[in-house]
Amino acid sequence: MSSAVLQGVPGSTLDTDIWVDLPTRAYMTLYQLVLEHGGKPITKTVYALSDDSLVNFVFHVDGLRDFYREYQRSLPLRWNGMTIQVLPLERILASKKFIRRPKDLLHIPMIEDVLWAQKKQRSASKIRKR
Amino acid sequence: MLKKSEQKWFDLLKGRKHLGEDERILLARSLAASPDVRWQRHENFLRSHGLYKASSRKKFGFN
Repeated sequence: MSSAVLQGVPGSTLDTDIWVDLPTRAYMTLYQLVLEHGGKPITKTVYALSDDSLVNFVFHVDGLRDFYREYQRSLPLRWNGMTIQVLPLERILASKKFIRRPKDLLHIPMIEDVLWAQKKQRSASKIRKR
Repeated sequence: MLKKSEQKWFDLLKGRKHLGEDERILLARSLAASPDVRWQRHENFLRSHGLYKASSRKKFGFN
């Protein structure tokens, strides 16, 4: 949901999911990396970073294709002085529609509203350019 | 009062009939903002409820 927030969805989330292209057994690599940067583990995949914010490393996202294929369609986004790759809203929506936890059901209409507005805005821009 | 860029989104969102005026304002402000501003607002929201830090969330029953 963090990347949806960055793309304009006015929702909230308590942690940031980071999709990593690693086998699940490689969680120790992430463990070392987080520890080197002052974070601490909460579970094998959830960490509190040095500012006490939470990140959750995910190795698979339900409802989506494999990492490589989704990465090819990911969007570069400038944030906090860095360029990060984020899943497009359409793909976040696809995952949430597949998973359908109560919190996903709350996020779905918000994402659909933003997608609708962005699509309208793009078509209005095209008309103005003609 | 909405900024010009926010007003454009607000007007566009009038086509979304199920949204109330307050929801359209919220969406318009979010759509007009940069990713950094969006994230700052999100963090401010969590902080205002004492939910930003993992340690402060424990009293609400989170891990």
